[in-house]
Amino acid sequence: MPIVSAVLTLSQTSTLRAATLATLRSTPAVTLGEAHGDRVPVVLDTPDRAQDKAAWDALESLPGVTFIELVFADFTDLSNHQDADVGAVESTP
Amino acid sequence: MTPDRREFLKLSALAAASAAAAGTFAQEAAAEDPTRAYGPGVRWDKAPCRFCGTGCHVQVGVEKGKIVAIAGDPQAEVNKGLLCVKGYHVGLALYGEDRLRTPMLRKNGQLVPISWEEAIQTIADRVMMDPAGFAMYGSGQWTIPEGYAAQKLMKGGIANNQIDPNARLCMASAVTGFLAVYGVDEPAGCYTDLDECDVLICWGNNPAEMHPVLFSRVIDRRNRGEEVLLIDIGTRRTRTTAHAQHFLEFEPNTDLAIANGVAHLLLKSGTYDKDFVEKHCNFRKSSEPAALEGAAMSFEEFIAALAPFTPEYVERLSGVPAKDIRMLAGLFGRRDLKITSLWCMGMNQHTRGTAINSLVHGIHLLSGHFGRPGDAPTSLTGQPSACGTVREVGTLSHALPGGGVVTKDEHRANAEKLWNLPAGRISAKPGYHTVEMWKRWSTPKKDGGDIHTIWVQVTNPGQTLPNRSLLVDPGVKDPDKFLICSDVYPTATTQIADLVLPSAMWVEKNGMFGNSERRTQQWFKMVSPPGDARDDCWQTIALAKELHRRGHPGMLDKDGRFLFTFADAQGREVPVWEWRRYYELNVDKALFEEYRLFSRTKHKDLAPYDEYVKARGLRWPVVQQPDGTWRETRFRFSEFDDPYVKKGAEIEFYHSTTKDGRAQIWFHPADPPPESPDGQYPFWLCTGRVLEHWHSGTMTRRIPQLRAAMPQAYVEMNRHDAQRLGIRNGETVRLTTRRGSIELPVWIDGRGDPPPGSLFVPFFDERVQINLLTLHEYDPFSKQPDYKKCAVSVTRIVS
Repeated sequence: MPIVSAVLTLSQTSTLRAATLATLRSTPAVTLGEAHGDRVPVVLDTPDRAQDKAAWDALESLPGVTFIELVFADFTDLSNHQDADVGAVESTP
Repeated sequence: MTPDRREFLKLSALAAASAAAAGTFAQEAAAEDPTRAYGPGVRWDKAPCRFCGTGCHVQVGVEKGKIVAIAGDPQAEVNKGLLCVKGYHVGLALYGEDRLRTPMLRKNGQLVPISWEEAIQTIADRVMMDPAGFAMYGSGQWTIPEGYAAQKLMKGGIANNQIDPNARLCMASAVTGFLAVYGVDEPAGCYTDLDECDVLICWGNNPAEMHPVLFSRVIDRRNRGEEVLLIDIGTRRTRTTAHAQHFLEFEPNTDLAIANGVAHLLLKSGTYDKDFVEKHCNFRKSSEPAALEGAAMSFEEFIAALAPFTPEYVERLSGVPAKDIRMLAGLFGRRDLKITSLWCMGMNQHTRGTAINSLVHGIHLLSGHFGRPGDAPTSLTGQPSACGTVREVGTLSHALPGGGVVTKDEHRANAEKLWNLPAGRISAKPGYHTVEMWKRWSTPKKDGGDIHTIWVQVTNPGQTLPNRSLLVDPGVKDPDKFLICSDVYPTATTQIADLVLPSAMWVEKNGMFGNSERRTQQWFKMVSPPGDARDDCWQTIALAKELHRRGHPGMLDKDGRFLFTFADAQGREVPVWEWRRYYELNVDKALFEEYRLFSRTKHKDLAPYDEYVKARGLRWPVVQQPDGTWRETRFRFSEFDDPYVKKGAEIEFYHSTTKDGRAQIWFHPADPPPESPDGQYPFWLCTGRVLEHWHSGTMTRRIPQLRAAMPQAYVEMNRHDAQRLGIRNGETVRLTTRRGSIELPVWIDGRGDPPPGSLFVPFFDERVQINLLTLHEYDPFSKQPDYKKCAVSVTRIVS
């Protein structure tokens, strides 16, 4: 299911930064690359869309993550289930 | 996907992200490109992103007719392999389950499927019954060829000039600002300014959310240890504020006073750039009657006009501390710094939009912070081709392709020559601007409502027009009026439309966009549209052909040839109005090659189509070199880069309104807004966008991740106001203005933080029609309405 890679910019506050890195390392869906200054490459590999969303929500909510840039997204498997995954929007009453 | 392939893909994805994090993605593109992890079954091609005006390039992976992957394009100078969260999801925007798939006509109140033939005939009926009252309403999401075809149909064929785009609502004041100052539209600089500036000033915009890939350049520079001073001048704290060293919070509408205060101090302290001003600038003020060119004023008059704008006076007007006005002026007064100003809707959606645009340009000119990389006043756009299609093709009601206007004899004559039309075909009378067009459509004919039909393409005015009850109220729609809407999904506009046409979107068709830095971009069709959805450009040409068949005289050129006649490489005419034959030749290429002849008029030279096929966009003017290659221009008006600047001139404004090569530094007073808070409506209301959703949410609300991340509209409210009114976080309140009322939940300490007395509501949610509340008052020159400030009341809803 979804494989997404991104660059996270981390807080320059050392304690916050350390805590964030520790959290990222302990997150099973996340693979961390080598940091370049405040910027850390990551890959998120999740089994389904719900967990993909949960993982992103968790990343975005980390106080030590100040900016997220996307690099790549694969949804090869998702496109086989697109009708279930990509929904309609409820209309104006 | 097999485990091995999955692991390989992950490693490739990590390598790409690592290269991006190191800032070496572009150099290592070949090695780190994640698209290499795919086999031959996945075909990759380039395209600009479908969403904002940044113009990021994505690589689109297609397998078995479906998009299966998206990657940032490391070869693209704009985004260097990076994408924002919307760009990541751009491939999924095609696959909402409620895509429109067949034409539908409203019969007995219900939309019922009809054939394309009936649909086109229905439109033709509306034209033929009264051509003068037929209008088109497009957008900055029209591709360049789509906009050009619509432009040619309405100005050269039906010839009533009744065509205007939604970009009138988003960047028209930037256009009039550029015209008033330089005599020609669009920024002189480019995104390189963000890499070179020492100081970045955001004037009422929030690039961290709205143009995040551009903003990441600042993040990247700081990460490398560079000093970038970021100053956020705004009416509410945003994600951009969090990255800024200075936040100058001002009272809405007082940005003119701030700009005047800075100019005043530059003059008073003698730190303005005397040499630059003497060589390159004149001074202007408002004229009577009002005109975009204004009236001349002397330097001494300019000083006197600014004299009242002392820091203390500006503080009283704006709330910005006098020391911060001095700080800003001090920075502009330094020659050793490079300063870039950025702005977007905050300065454009403003009843004084032309004025504030002109004043910010003026500060840069007065201080000489212009013309060097990093020294630039730059407006950003919100749509992918607001520049390419609206500003350059000229799909505004007064404009002609390439920067011409219908009111000038020579411009009409040039267009008639290039379109091979009989002299006098193009009307010298501008059509109606957006607000006027819709007001006349919403007014019965007997009361002066002379627009009977509007054909909407690629936009959603049912949600985005201001003061919706006045301009597009379905409850009072006159039965004689007719609304046609071409779109990809059901919207607030299709719900009230009489005829709904299903359109192809993004890589379901060939296309070209023009981004915020004058960069023209091209892509090819990669997948098929669903059902019977068809290209907007085909729809326009098919209507033209039907009008031709019915004998509309405007559909012929002066030699009796149909306006949209195309031939293949062997010179054989191809009837592209027949859908099954539309892709027998590249209609985009044919239209673009015709259009680009206009681009020389204002030195906005475009290269041949095939040059854009090879490139990740080229910034105009693109000028052919002696060796036959085509060279783009990064910095206009600067001798070191712009081939149209005379040798030795250093800087030359070669479309100067005063015809002396000089730009105009304007004085504008700080006038009050049309509506301010009072006892009955005590709050300011500001509207805008959020990171996850683009414009009216038609596409992004169909992407589950984006919808889940930002599920519904809300009103941001200051904590102290909420406490004073006894309102809790999440509680539903009623917002009321003089125009309407809506209910929505309160978000305290949310994404943004408005100051006491101020509210913010995003406009992406069609279930919460915030534009029932907004003003339709507009700037006198640009005709752009003000969505950023009106007076509103807040009421708790007691159950």
